[in-house]
Amino acid sequence: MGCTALSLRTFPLLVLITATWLLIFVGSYVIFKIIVPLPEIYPGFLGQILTEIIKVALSGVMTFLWLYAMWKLRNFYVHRRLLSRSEDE
Amino acid sequence: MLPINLTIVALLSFAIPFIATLILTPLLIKTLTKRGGLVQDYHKANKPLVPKPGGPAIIISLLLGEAVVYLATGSTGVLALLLVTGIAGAIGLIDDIYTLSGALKPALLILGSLPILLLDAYSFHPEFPLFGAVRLSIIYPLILLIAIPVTSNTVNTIDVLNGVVSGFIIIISIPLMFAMLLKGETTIALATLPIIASSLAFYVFHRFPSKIFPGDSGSLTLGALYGGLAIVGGVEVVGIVALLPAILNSFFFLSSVRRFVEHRKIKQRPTKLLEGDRLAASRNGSAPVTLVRMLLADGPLTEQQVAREIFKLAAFSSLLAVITAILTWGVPL
Repeated sequence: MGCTALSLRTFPLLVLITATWLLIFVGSYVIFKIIVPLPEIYPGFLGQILTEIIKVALSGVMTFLWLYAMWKLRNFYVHRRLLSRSEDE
Repeated sequence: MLPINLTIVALLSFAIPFIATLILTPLLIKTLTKRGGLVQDYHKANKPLVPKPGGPAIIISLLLGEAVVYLATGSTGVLALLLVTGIAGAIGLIDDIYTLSGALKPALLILGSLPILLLDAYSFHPEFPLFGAVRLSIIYPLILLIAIPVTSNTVNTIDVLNGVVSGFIIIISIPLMFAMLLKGETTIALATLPIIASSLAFYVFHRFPSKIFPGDSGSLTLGALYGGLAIVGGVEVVGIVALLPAILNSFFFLSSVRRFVEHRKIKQRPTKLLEGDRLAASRNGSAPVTLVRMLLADGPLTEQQVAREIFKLAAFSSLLAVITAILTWGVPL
């Protein structure tokens, strides 16, 4: 019984670790396989610079989305499991 | 099968740091106790005094182990790891003596990244599972500069309960070594043995009830070497995955306090001590969110039980790291 309670206690954190692991895969795939190989918007030096800026910006957005997803998962966990209970529980 | 000379190097690079830690740690316990280098163990009702820091024993044994691998192989990568260990150890010792600020500590630890960068002991083609290597010729050296401060501080933040940091490092170093062997990085895989050996021997004294604490010199050095091994061995993604429980702990903490701050300066504690030496989560909304606090969300546990739960998380992330290694370099035959 005690052992089961301990296992259940770890379960949401295991889910959080798995979600983070999957987000690393998805995030890195989108950045390196979709954003980085994007073709130049238009030919020439300016086009090349603009394309690189867009790639960096999109990668930045991806990183932000990853952190945001982590933040939401953390908040969900904290509010559902930590702050919803009283001191006496 | 390893050639005989590599087998001897493997044995020595494990045995020497293991024995060195077993000899040096009791000496350090005696010396620190005699000279008053003691701190309270806050997670016990009677607040026993525990010698701190045990870092010097860890640092010396790691340097000895890495020196064995370097002398046997002459690898530049191992030389870089020796220097990373020395620099991070020195910064950790300064921190143990003078208590560096939460911002200065990571800034100084950038120095720990320099040997890898200056000795060119890295590849800017990190390998990812399923889609392989990517070229990061410009951004990788910049990431490398912050990698050692990040890993050392991340491991430092998990040093919260008796035996946790030493046990955690033992568990998460195994997938790192597995990935290097899978990749064919035998030399750097050998350089992983000292960190496992030293942590294993230190765990004997650090486990509940602790006879010594590693201090920042111990935990920062272990974290810096772990990060260095992942970079020099070219198994960065595997290293990150295995370290996930500690990364999440840092993320929870930083996203709740919203600044780089020395943990001793946090007024609201994430946990509180109950009767019977049980730990409970603080329900105060302004207390920092940590891994331990989250593990205690469902009710109080003893310190040993919390440590066991953290080891379970480390074992799980290590399993994911092994899967990551197999997805990256194929199934071992």
